Amino acid sequence: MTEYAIETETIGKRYLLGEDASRTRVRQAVQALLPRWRSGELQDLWALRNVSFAVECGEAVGIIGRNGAGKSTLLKLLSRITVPTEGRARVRGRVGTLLEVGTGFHPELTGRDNIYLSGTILGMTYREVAAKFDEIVAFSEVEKFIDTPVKRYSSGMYVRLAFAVAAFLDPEILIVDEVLAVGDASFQRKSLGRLNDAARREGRTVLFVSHNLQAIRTFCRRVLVLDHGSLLFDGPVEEGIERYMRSVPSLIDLHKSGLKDRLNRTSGAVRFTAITALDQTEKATWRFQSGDTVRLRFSYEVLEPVRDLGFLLMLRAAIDGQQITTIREPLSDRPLAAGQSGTFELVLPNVPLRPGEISIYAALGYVDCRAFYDVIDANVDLPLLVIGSDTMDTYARQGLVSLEYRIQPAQPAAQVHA
Amino acid sequence: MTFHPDRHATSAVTEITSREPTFPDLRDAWRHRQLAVMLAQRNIKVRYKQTILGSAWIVIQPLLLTGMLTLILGALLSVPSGGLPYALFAFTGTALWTAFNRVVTDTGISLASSSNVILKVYFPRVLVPAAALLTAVVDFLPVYAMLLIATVAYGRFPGWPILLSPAFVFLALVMAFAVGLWVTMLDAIYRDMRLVVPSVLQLLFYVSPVMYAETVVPARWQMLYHLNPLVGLLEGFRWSFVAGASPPSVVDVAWCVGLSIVMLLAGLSVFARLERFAVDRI
Repeated sequence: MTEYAIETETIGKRYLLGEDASRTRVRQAVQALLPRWRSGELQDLWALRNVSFAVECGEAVGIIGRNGAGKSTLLKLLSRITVPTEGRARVRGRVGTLLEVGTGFHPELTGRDNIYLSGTILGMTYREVAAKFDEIVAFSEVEKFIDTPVKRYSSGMYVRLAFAVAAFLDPEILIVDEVLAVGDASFQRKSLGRLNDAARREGRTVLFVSHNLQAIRTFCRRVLVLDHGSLLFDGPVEEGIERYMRSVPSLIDLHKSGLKDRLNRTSGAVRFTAITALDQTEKATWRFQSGDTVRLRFSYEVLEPVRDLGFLLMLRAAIDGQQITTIREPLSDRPLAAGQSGTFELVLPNVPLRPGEISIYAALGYVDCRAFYDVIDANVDLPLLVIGSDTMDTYARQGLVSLEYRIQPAQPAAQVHA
Repeated sequence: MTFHPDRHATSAVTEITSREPTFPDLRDAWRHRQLAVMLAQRNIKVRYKQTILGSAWIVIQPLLLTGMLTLILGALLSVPSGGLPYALFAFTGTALWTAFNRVVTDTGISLASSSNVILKVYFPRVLVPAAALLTAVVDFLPVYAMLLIATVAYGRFPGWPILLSPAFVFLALVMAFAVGLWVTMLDAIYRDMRLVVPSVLQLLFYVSPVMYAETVVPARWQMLYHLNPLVGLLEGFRWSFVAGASPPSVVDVAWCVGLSIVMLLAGLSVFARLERFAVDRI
């Protein structure tokens, strides 16, 4: 008989909506005392419903789905942060939860104190932290500042130290949310490498939520696809990713995604309202072949008057966050009045990208890009551009881009300077 | 990094269901006790960062209150102090009162103010208010030392009753903790609590013998007055600390003990029942 590390049976979680203002809460409390028919206004939302699956010990399972699909809710249920409304789950062994980098960190405390504090909060004993302390510090590369309050750290140092603590957890089951999306490319490589060790070499059971499909491919042989709170697919990774990509709409309507999904550094004076990708034939799609012409069509509206408008686009390799290119273009040198809107298209002819997934980061801001009005990326469910290729030649698939080149006859190298 | 895959086989199984517990899993909490210590340590280390006087504030607060009461009530208004030097009378009262007040307040906001951690990782939630209690215990130690110095300086060292003083402190903190458990649950759901609690505590301050001896209360109100468990606590604490203070009545002490046990059990129970509900709302 197989030992399951995780088993869930028709697990579900319902949240009550519209209870942000304390006044409604008081009203709800009052309503709860009144006869049943009065409380009909209460709106509820099943963040997750009727989800059943089992994970074997040592298995690494990826979880993908759009924002609001219930990925985080599932992780929170399995790590006991929140309690299911219905159904049940059985978890065998010590669970380590990484829903963010730096859980329990306090800015006023030194790096040393934070290692102990965060380590204990994440489930280590004091003695375990003490035993691993030197390794954690070495891994974080902040030895020199270990007795400095972490509020004086650069964000890179902070993230490295925080991740180092998490990297030395010793759970049987590791539950990881999109924590690796923070930090620079080298940090991402390092942390993905650590996760790979946990899953592959150390044989831990890993549940891993990510927008990074390439990382899912690397670590997991099995994937769960969630959609609007239900389990859409449970099976092999490639098939799951295929299912997921098919569920991505071709036109991303950004009216619906609130400002809270966007980066908080933006003013919101101008906002993207829609984005879609088109191929040469005007067909909306997020999947292209190497060498295709890619057209990205953006719509925006002006909510508050602005002095000018600039556009910034960054393309990154989804696998490790490596920047492929950055484009900055002015859209308007003159002031724009509230209520104006516009649509423009960015055409990338014959993109020389090799097979892989490209994440898009687009921003509207000052022409000089000193400040942004709106930024959209994976946080607003922007899909990845998927570049495919028919070629079977491994050497024509590796790497990020195809450079133009030619081979020509030439003199032997030794004779060039002769 | 050592890891033994076979450990899975022997590992404990956790059942995750919607079943509502009626009492916190104290054994699980005890296993994680180090976390409460770490959290308390953090509270203490962080609290007085970027202040000049640092942890001296722990002692300064009750001393300032005592000084003010002694000046106005003791010297100007000659409020009765049960035959004790007014300053000593007020100091014992304010010391215990400050500790009680702080435990209710800190325990009361503990859950909501730890939301950043609570929403990201699981551990027995009861450790969060427990850490607030632990912090208050550590905070009381220097105050306790000051009290000893004061009572000796006034030549009022009480002898053996001093051995009972920790018991009264313990009772007061348990009671405050129990109240705090209710408050922290309600606070997580209704933020109004943090506005209500200070007013209620202030009221309690006036109806407790902190700054006046209970003899000022008219005879016909005495019964009602003694329903306030802090009456027995404060009198008992004073008697254990200052020679010449009248001993507390056995009925009052029994009432305190009984009430704190009931309140603690009820507080833990409401905490266990509402914990899940509160976590979804903070």
